[in-house]
Amino acid sequence: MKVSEQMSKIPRGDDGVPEDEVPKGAPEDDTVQQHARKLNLVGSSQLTKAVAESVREGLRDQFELTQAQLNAAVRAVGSRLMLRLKAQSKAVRGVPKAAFLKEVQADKDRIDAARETAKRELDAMLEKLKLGQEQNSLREAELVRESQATGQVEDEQLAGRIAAIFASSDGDSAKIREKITELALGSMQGQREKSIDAQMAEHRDQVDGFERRIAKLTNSLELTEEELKKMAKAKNIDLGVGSIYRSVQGLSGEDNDYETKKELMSSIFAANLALQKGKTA
Amino acid sequence: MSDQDYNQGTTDDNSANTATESTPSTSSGSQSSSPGKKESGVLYLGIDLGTSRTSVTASNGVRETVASFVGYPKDVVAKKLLKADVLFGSDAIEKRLSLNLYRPLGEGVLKTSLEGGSEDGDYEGNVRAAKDLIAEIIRRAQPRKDELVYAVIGCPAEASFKNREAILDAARASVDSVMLCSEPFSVAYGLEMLDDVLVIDIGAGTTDLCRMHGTMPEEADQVTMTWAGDSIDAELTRLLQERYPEAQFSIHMVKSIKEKFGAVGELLDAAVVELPVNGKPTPFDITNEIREACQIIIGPIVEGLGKLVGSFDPEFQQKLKDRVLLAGGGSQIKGLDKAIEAEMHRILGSGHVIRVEEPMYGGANGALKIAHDMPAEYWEQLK
Ligand SMILES: Nc1ncnc2c1ncn2[C@@H]1O[C@H](COP(=O)(O)OP(=O)(O)O)[C@@H](O)[C@H]1O
Ligand SMILES: [Mg+2]
Repeated sequence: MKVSEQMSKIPRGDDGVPEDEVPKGAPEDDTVQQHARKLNLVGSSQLTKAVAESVREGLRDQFELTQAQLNAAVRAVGSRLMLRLKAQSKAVRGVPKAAFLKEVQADKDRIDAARETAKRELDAMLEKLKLGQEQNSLREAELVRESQATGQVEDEQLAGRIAAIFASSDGDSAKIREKITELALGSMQGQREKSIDAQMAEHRDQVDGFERRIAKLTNSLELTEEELKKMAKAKNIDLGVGSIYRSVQGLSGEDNDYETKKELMSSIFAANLALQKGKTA
Repeated sequence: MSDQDYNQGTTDDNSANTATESTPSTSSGSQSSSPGKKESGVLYLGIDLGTSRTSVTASNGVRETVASFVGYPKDVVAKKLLKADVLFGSDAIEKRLSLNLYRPLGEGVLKTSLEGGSEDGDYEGNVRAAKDLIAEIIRRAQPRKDELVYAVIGCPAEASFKNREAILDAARASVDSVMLCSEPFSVAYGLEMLDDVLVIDIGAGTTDLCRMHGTMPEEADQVTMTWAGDSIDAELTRLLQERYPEAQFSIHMVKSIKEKFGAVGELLDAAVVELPVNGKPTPFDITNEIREACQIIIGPIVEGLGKLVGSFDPEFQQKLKDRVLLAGGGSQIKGLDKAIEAEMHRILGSGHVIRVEEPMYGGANGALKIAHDMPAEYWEQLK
């Protein structure tokens, strides 16, 4: 892609004529003011033409001038008009530019601060979440281990008790005994799992809370980003404009003059490296 | 007038980043994570650091120009009044009476105390002004806080070693990585003219001539002369004073007049200006004076071109003369391309002069292109 194609902006020409050459103190005529109020209904090319014509006519009526002098006068008026309009455009929305910029800066600072806070909170949240999740899995493993250990003892006790009951009766109901034991053990395990679940649920709620909070914060981050962009656009302020070159940096291998350019780049680099080295040496 | 383009994709990328990377920290500290991968979030800048004008073209689409003037309030009162510690460009020129005004690159290079460039030989002051000026032009390029800034600065071809060091120092304070290159080279590079071309860059303080033939120009490929915009202003001032002693004008007015009417050869329009005589605006036809003043640079320029052509491989001299690139603010003098061409025919037997399309941004555009084409690892090494 050619650089020139990417650069579509019109130069802002800050280097022009010093401001002190803006004509000052021209008479403020009532008729001019009245007409000026209607001016925003007129297109700029119409306006330019009208100004040029009326200046020309006015001068022709009042003075005897050559065509060249007339042209020069019209040009002079045109450029002064531009300078004056340019000078006046420095006042924005009726507020002096400096005050306006200050106001805008305050807005920006506020949003920046909000964003910073949200970002910091989000970071802290993410940290907590990670910690919480780690703790949860540790706790879960621990609970399972615990329940398995205590369960083993309980199981043995229960089995012993059931065996005692059946031993006191006759030995012919061995099948029933087995079944009952199984059943009892099963129900015990079920209960233990339930209790683990209950304990885990508490932690999970906490994590869910974190996650919801994070979603919200992310959302509000996006919002402030959005707000910043909108505000910057509306007020035309310096919030920073992202680079267009994200992943396209570097000379393209398809470039016609790839070899030559590569060589040029490395000699510029070498010269700068030498310059930097010479400085630190 | 809202002229900022917001790149939706870019910003979105960014908010995504903040959610995953918890500590963006200082931009200069970050490293490209995988060496093979191309770096993202880099703002490239092409800067044309000139005597009279400093311009930037940035990879975010921003272009800015500021007159190369830096002013510091003379005293506390002035500071309070101006509500600023430092003023730049036309603001500084406008308020010059209450400022210590610096033009840090006068004569195209940072003035040193040895060279005695500035009125008071204030080298330290000029270095500080250069630093502030570079910081300002970078600020105007509107970098995002979370992007690295890599800049290529085109500086006058003949800036001395000491000067280059000072410029580099000044820039390093505000960017993450920086390279210097010669201004005429960046102009030619920007136009994809990589070999066999002669560049004429007419600035305010100096005109730089540069012969390009495929590799980086060397000392022998460059000629710098002080026949440039400022000398035309001085000559026009002299002529006007001589022929219209009653007319009143300042050097700033003369410069504006030149920029408006500047022309050589056959003129289309008569140049009639109003200059005050005892306070009363009076029209003067200064067509001839303007033509005469603008002409004074043609002879020296063609003489300089002759030197560069004459010391070149005879086999390629013709090719060189056939591709002469006219750039810089002074190239906007009407008819100058044709006039230089005519003088080349007279002195050197032949010549073809092409005017660059964007005289004000040619250098910055080219520098940006270099910044872009520079391999990422080179940038890394100069951090
Ligand atoms: N339209 C114009 N016609 C003639 N000269 C111009 C015009 N615009 C600017 N200049 C002159 O160009 C010179 C500045 O050129 P520039 O390339 O900006 O210089 P530098 O590189 O030294 O900063 C000044 O002398 C200025 O008066
Ligand atoms: Mg220049």
